[in-house]
Order: sequence, then structure tokens, then C-alpha cells
Amino acid sequence: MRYKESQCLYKRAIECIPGGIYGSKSPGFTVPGQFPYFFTEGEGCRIKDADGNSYIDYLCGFGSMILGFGNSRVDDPAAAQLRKGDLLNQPAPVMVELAERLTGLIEGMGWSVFAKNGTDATTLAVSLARVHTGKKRILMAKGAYHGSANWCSTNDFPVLDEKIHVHTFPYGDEAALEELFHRYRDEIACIILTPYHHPTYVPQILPAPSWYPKVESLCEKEGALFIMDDIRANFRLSLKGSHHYFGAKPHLVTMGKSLANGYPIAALMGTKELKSTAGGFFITGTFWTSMVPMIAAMHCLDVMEEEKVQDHVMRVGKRLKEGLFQAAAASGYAVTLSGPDSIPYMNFDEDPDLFLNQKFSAAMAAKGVYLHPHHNWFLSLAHKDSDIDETLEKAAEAFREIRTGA
Amino acid sequence: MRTPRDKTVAAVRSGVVSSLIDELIALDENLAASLPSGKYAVTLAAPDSVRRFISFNGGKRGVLLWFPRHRDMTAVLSGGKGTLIPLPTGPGFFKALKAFQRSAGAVAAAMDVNPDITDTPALEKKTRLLLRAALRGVCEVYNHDHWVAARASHIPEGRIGIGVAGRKDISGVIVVNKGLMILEREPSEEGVNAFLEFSDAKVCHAVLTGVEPALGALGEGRVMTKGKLPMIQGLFPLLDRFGEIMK
Repeated sequence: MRYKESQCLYKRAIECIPGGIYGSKSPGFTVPGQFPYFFTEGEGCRIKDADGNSYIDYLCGFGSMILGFGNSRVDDPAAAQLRKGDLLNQPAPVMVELAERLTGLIEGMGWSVFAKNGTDATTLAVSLARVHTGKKRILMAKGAYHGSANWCSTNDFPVLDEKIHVHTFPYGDEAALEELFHRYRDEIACIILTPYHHPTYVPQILPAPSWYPKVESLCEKEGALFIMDDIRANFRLSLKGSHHYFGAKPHLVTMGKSLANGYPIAALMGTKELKSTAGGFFITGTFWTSMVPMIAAMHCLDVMEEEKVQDHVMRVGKRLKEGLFQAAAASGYAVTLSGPDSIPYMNFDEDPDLFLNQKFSAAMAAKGVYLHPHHNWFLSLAHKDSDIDETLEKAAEAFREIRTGA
Repeated sequence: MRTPRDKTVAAVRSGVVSSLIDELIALDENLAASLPSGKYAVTLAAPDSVRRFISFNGGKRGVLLWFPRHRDMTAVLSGGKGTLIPLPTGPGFFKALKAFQRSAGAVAAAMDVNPDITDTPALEKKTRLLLRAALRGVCEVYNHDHWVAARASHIPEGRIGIGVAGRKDISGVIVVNKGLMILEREPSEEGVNAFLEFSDAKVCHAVLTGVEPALGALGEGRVMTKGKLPMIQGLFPLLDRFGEIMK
């Protein structure tokens, strides 16, 4: 049985861990029984599960691996520092170097603080916006993911109180956004947006040309802050930030995931005007100053700059999208490949409920390609043309299999 | 806050009992044959519009069983003592009363049976009853319980199929529409948006009786979630709550 060890481990896990594996990594979010649940190692763009099965990976640690697993240019200096100490009493010099580097690199940003997960950064961002504006209300797009804190999590219960001041609107709906700004005049602290709309299950939506000018003018008029949550797209669109790619001008930017190629670090950055507010705000976490991820981030930035990572992931992603489109068509399926080329997602046009996505992903997993059925995919520097070729070959087989019910 | 309201418990209990009577009569020829002949009906009623209608042979009138308090309804339908006032609603009064007593007793007996897992017909019969009870119970919890109201409000509208793979007779379809959840009377798997599927009746029985954790079966692919997952994910807290209320 292909996933025997994964399933044995999961059986043990449910005895001592609520849900066995929680959140977005839960088996229920994949294709239960037909997907691996535990992984043991990765190299380049390939990962190995607990049963020893190997996969070409298109989830990349939920986007964190932008250079590929085991990149020695990042891992060697990080490992060397780990042996000398990671978390000392005070921050290491690299914290200053990383903040300098990011403020020089990320367009419009004048300062940076560091944390661990995206949720840390987005929660800091909205808190800071509330402190700065003296207002409470937060606007976010319906279905957008900004982390697992109570103010934004998908838990509707029993943490309702946290959401009293959070209001949603359909992504890209300028009239609905305008209406919210009108309804809560003088009460809105901020709007938080991902660079483009990347909810689970459905096609991804890129912003219309008029979207960011509208957001910015409403924020300007109402004295609200504009937060760009760049945690997921992070560096797969532009080295200067996804807001640069889309021509937006946020007041605060959150980053994480691919910043350090898989090492745990997130960053909140802001404009110079917000620096004094941030300085007066108590920001801390025991592990937020650990230096290994910062060293990894510095080296990851080096590689991304030198190797022009964004160009690469866009190019191989485009090949993947086009190839999947053709392979699907050859089996009589019309599919939509949405999102930027470097972060694609596929939906079968005839099946909005995703039955076919699940069958396709399960078939691909059985063939050694990890394409998540419900979450967008990621390309990395480690994905070579030969990996794309192999993926497309297997995809053609998988499309044929699900068409014939094999 | 978490304690279910009396009305909720009565609504869930009466919904489940009325559904199980329908199901058992369809399943059990001996029971059907033992009921008085002719057309008649039983209505179970309690304050605040808790009302269930059970038709025998297509009948529309017979008896209305009025429970002055929700607790009376819950107690009587659980096999305990409570105040119950039978009111005639038509010529089939006595037949309806007798049929209700007999079929409710048969349901209680059938639900007490613990079939041997090698006895396939008995296991499948019990599984069908358990599934019917769970699905109807989930609907009543969704429609009546204050505790899950907020938690379940995000379940997308549409149709959810739940049952044993390849066995339409051990399956059901729940419809979520405009804030209400109903169990389809004559379910069709055509056009379901999501499916919670048990690989066979043994797994379904084991999960519904709590012998096997649902998550364990899910991990091994013996319980499958297919299609629009948020619809199915929304069912789990309802199933948990149903279990709490029926204790």
C-alpha cells in the first residue's frame, strides 16, 4: 500500500494531537487515503514521504521554498551559525543588516521588524494600523486568508467577538468597498489585501488596473492605512515586493514564507511616516530575534538577486500552465489555469465542486507529482525544464485516466 | 450557554424518531404487516411549533399527540415518562395511536440491536437506521440549535450526499438552502455538490456507533470527502452536537 506509513503515523497522531494533523495540512484538505500525510526529506524540487515515495513538489512548503530544498548557499551558512547559537539574549548584527537590506529593496518601505509566521506579521500590521489611526475597523476581502489569529481566522466560532470590527467585501468590487468606507466613515483603521486574490478552491483573481488606485484614494480620503499582505506571493512576482509588480503603494507590507527559503521568519515593513508609531508599540516574541533564519534570509536574497528567480519561476510556471491546458484539452477537458504564472492554480471548467480536481491530484500523487487539489501551487528555482516535462507527461496520463475512469 | 435548550432537544428527538419510524416501516415487512390497515397519520406536537407528521399508508389524519412541555416530548420519545394528550384529528384515531405505539416500540428495539459484524443483513439494516437518524438529527441541530448556529452559518448552500459507496439504499442527501437544512425524502445523487462516503457498511456502522474514530477511517481513505469540502467540514460540528444532544 503506497501510503501505509503515512496512515499508521496519522492513526497514532489522532490519539495525541487534536485532529491528528491540524489546519491546512489536515488529510481532509487533501484527498484522504490517496495522498501522503507525512514527509521526511526534500532535495531541489523533489520531496520524499514517510513511505519513501518521491514527488516533484508544487506546494514548496506552502510557498516557503523558493530556491528548492537543501539549497547549500542558504543552508550551509545557516547550519554554521546554528552550531554557534541561534537565539542569544540580544539580537545579532544580522538583524540590522537584514532590516537595512529589506528597506533598501522593498519599494516604499522605511523600516522592518521581524517575527516568525505570517499571522504574526499581519496581526502586528492591523494592530499598528489601529494604534496609528486610533480607529478599530478592518476591511478585508471575503475569502482572503491573512492567517490564523482570531481576527482573521476561518474559525467562525467561538471567537466571534474578535471579528466584530472586521468587515469583508467581494475582492475587486470597488462599489462594495466604497460603500463600506461610506458606512463606517471615520472608523476604518485599515484595509488589508493580498496582492491578488488567492483563496482556496476557486480560480485566482488578478487586480483590475483601477483597483489599487481606488483602494489608495479611499484610504487617503478616510485616513485609513493600506496593508499589503505579501506573505504568500512573496518574491515570486518581484524582488521589490508584489506591490511593485502591481503598481500599488501600501503603507505597510508583510512578508514571510519564501523570505528565507523555508526558515521561520516573517517581516512587517512600513513607510517612514509610520516608524514612530511602530517604535512606540510593544513588539516582541522570544524567537523573533533568532538569527539563523535571518542569516538564511540574507543568503536567500543573494541567490534570488543573482539568479533572477522571478524570471525563472514565471517562465517555468508558464510552461506548466500551458502544458496542463493542452494535456487537459487532449482528454477533452477545459481547464482554467489562474493566478500568476509562478503561483498557478487549476480548475476544471465543468466542475466547480472540485470532484475532478481531487481525482486529478490523487492520480498525480500516485505518479509522483504533488499538485494540491485545493490550494494554489508554487514554482521554485529548483524546478527545471526536465521536471516540467516529466510533470506534463504524467499529467497527460492522469487526465486520460480520469476521463476513462481507469 | 452550551446546554441545549429544551425546544432543541425535543425538535431533534422528535425529528429523529419520526424519520426512524418511516425508515423502519420501509425496511421491516413484519412491522409493516403488523400495523392496522388503512390510511391514517400521527402528528407529534409541542409548544413553539415543534411539530412532526408521520403518515401511514399515505394517510393525513388520525391522532395529534400533544406534549404540553418540550421536556414531555423528549422524555416520552426517549422511552421515559411525560405528559401526553392524544387528540383525535380524524377517523383513524385508534389505528393511528396503535400504529404509533407499535412502530415507536419497534424503533427503540431496533436501535438497541448490536448486530454481529459477520451478519451482513442485520448490520446493513442497523447502519441504514443509524445513518437516517444521524442525517435527520444533523438537520434538526442545524435548524434549531443556538450553540451551532454561528458555527454552521458558513456552510455553503447546495446538496451534500452522505452514505456508503455504491449503496443508494444506505445513503441520504442533505440540502442546505436559505438557512435551512433538510433531508431529502427521495434522494438522488445526481447534482450533489459534495459527498461524505463510507467505503462499506461496516465502516459506516463503526463510525456512527463510535467504535471507530471518524478521523482514523478518513486517514485510511475508508471515509472519503469529495467535492466542495467546506460543505462537509461544516457537517462535523453538527454531528458532534447531535451526539451531545442525544446522550
